[in-house]
Amino acid sequence: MSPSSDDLLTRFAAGDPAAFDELVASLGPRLKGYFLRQGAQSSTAEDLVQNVFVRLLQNASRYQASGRLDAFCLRIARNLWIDHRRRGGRVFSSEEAFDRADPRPGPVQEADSGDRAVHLRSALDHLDADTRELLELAVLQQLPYREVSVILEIPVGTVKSRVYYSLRKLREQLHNLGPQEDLS
Amino acid sequence: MSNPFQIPEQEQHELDQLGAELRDAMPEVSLSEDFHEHLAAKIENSWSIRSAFQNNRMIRMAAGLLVMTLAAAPVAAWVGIWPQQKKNPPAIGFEIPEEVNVDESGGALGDSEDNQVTGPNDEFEAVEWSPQRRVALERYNRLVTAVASYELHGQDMELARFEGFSDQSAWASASEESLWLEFARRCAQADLSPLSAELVARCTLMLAAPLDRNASKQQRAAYAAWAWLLEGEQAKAADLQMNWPSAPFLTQN
Repeated sequence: MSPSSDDLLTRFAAGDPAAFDELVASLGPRLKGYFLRQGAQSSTAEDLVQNVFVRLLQNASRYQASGRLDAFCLRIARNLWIDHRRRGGRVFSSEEAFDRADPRPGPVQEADSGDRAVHLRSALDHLDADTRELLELAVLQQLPYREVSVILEIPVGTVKSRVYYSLRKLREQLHNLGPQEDLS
Repeated sequence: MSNPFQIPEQEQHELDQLGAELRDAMPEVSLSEDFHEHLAAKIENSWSIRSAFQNNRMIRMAAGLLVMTLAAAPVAAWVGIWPQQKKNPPAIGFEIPEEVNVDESGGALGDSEDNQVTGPNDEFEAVEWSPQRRVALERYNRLVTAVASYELHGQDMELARFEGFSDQSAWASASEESLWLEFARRCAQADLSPLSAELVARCTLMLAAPLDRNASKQQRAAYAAWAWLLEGEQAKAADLQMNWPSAPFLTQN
């Protein structure tokens, strides 16, 4: 995510509606991916993404521009997802969620073709929820450890060590899933 | 010597590569065609009192004023009612309150001829009333009447500030003005405590002499007020239609 997201929000607050469209185009797919990987159904994911933007507008005056609007949005997204879970919202595995979201070839077909990407997604899906969330924020969303520590409310050092062990766990999971090419 | 907490460089590189692979493995996600349409509708419907409060300082100020006004109304009403609630007007009756001590050993008071006064109701047993007791009761009831009149027509707080004399002997040389202020103070404060002998003596002395034709307004007021209080209906200057506070008890004289 480019730091210019802040500028887009500033431009929108200053009365430029096109800036908001750019903001949605920039952050929307990424947020939808976040919700899908958390296990939201496609329609639910889009609904939640829309709620993130509504919340963003409602709290725009309180946002302190720091160059990490994506971290701010992901924090909102995480809170919304927690609320969704509390309300008993249905949760799928991320593979299921992506299958429903995307009419691309299913995981079975891709696995048959020996697609390493499928193995990686499957390995991720087999991790526990906390580990998945950490990898989501630190690896997939590429937020700085400092931002991850703020969102997850844990020290930065803890984030760093947990990311290390989570990636090792992912690698072990990848090995356990079946014969494939070695990473090293 | 290597740091045991340091991640080996080779492993760090492998894990970074695994992270990059993981990112690449994620399918591309796109928003549906009607996403913007639904988003616009949600934003349009998102206006709420809460968001208005969060985003608009004028609305917050207006709401604050409204709350203060709503809160002030009952408080003001209560404050206005409270002093009236505190006041409990004494009742006129035929029993002298215990705090009014009557010296029944004293001599004759006024022109009372009938020392045997019965109660107003024949069903009550006839009670013997001493002249002192009867006069004390009459004065007490007239003072109660004056207090009630002040409640209805008076409320002049300037008069109520008079504190009287702590040294009762000072009444011996009190002016008519002081006597008038003492009368008004008792009415304003609903002070029904017994009249001191010094005060009664000073008033009696004042009433003994005819009112000077050139007497001031307050002299006239004091004369009329105390004449009525001490002598009741026998006082020629008495005026039961008390007209507080400008000319209470004032007669054509």
